[in-house]
Amino acid sequence: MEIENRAYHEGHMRSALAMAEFAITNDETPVGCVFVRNGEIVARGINDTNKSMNGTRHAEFQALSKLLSEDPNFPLHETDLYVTVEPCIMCASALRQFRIRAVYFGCNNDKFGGTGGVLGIHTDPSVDPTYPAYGGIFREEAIMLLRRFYVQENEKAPEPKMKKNRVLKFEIQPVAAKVVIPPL
Amino acid sequence: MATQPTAMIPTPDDIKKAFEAMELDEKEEISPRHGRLLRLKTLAEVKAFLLLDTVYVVKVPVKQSSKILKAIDAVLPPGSLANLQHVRRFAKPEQLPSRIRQLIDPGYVRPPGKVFLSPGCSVGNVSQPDTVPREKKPSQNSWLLAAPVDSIGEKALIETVKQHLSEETPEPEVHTIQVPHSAPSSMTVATKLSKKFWPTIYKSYSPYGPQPAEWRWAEKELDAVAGKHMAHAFEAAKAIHSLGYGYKIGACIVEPKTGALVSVAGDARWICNKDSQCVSQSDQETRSKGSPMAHAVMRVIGMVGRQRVVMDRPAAPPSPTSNPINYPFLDTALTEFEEGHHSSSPLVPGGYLCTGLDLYVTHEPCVMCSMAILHSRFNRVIFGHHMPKTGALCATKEIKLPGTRTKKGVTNKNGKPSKSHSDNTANHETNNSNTKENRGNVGTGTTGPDPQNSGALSVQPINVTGYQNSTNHIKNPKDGISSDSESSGQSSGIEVADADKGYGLFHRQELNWRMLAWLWIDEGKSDWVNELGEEVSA
Repeated sequence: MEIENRAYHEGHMRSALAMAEFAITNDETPVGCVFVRNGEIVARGINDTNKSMNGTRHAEFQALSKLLSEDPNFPLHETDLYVTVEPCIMCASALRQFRIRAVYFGCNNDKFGGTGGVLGIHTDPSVDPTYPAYGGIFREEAIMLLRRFYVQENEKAPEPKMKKNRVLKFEIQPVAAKVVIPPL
Repeated sequence: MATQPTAMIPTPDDIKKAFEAMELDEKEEISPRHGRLLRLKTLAEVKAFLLLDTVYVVKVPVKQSSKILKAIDAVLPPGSLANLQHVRRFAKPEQLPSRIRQLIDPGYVRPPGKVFLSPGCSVGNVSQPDTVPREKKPSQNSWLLAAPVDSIGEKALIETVKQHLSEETPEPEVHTIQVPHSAPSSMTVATKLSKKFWPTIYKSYSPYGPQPAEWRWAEKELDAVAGKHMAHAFEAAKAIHSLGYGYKIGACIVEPKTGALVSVAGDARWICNKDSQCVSQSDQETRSKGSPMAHAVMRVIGMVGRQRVVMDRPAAPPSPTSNPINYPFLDTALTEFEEGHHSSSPLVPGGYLCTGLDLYVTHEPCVMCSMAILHSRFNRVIFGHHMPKTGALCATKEIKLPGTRTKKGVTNKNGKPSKSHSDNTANHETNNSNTKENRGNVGTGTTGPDPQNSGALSVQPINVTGYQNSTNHIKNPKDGISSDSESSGQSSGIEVADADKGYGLFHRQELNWRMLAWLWIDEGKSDWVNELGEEVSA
């Protein structure tokens, strides 16, 4: 989908990328996000799953919790989200239940993306209103951040993988037509 | 001896003490709920039965059948039959569904005196009573499922067959029919497919998700304890609802090896600030949504994370004192009941998220909570009320409980009285169906071509009416199925329209985590009522 006023959105995505950079220095998966209302950033978030030992503490939830702890009635229906990686299925549903206005993201999440990567939670039939999701803003930057993180070893994994031979790759494939996975 | 009777008589004090002890017990021990577990179907399983393959069938004399089969298999490209292991290669005309028989073998006349198997008898290797003396039999023909249409040309097929036929035999009859693309997931489904398409074999193997043995193994353990843990989830629901914090939804997490409760939480979506104030009852719209972050499942998962942090990082700072309830995550105990299960954690240091733990929740979790469960790497999930509009674990919107009445008022053979509000939908297997599976295994050990065995194929008396359709090809497989369910007035129990599918998030190949999940069918007290509106996300 063509995004209007791209420069404006790129500005906010830069802020989200800065958060993702911050996440990497904190040993967290480099996903960063900002919530924007009336052109102003109202909350920032990074992934917090490692520190909190809670697999649900994604960047979106962290930012939302800051917003809501300050103002439980914050008008999320007038708020947009900028996030470096496509929201997962859980976040996509949470954003819909919170009535977010729109979501802008960097790269697709083909493992558990909820706004097109795997499922289309933002537009599927549901009891909550739909929201639009636009991907591809600074996609390469978002991917490179993830790669930089995943070449590291994760001691916290149940079976840590030895990644001595892993090399950071720099070439990025263009967006391919979506492959539909048949059921087995 | 004389003093003993007097000693046996309890004094009023004893009685009082006994009653007090009983009351104490009641407070500490929540009586388990009565009920049973219903396995969820995976989405792959639900989808699979919409797919049909078009294949050639050819009429061959029984005497030459073995040679012809070998000849055909020799000319087929390798692997042509790899996906058709679940259909019989040979079927006698009387073993065909009547619809198929009318299409391909309209001249067939049932031999006089032939005895058919009784309706209940669907076991594979039971040989049919042979009442016609062998020498009086006319030349017998059998139908051979030759190959998928895309693997061989019709002419080549006919030529191959002809080589093994005597010259006076007329040109072999070849037809195309449609057979189920995927293997049946249970004996029940196999019987249905056999009645509708072509004799189909059930093996105790599921290509769509957890294996029957996995389900059985887990149920062996859970059947005994699920009622107890579901009672805890239900108590958590009642406790939080009585305080006005949220809907009557509750969840608990159990360490299955010890059976110990790890955390308990209820729904707290109406809490709207750090001071535990709630959304006013008059604000209906805000109230119905509340805060998704405070769904019972999100809270109960959050509690596990907090326990792990305390355990693995004693130096980590505790939750900020300015916000003791940690609004809006609300992942600390809010009720006395929740508090009561937080004094000591049965978790061991070094664990990862919720791996190896079981989750019990009174209602089917919404999309967000279902994915949170996957992210947390739960082992197994048992939920109470099915939420067709908002739940995301089930692969179908409607779930037919075994033993419920269909629209026609037919009760299943081995079913219990109906407790369901839904009917006429995909037939879920319960753990009670183990006997069925075992029965299925008896006659289905054989795979691949086996003309001898095919003679003993199980067939139920075919009484599917309403097939007036006499076209030679079923063009639209979906039409082919649904026309039956409409005209015969009975659901096939197999097809599920797209709009009736759910997410089936508990077990999807493309996602990062898969687990076992059951619907809890409560058979206990009448207090087990779904008080949620259907549009509420649990």
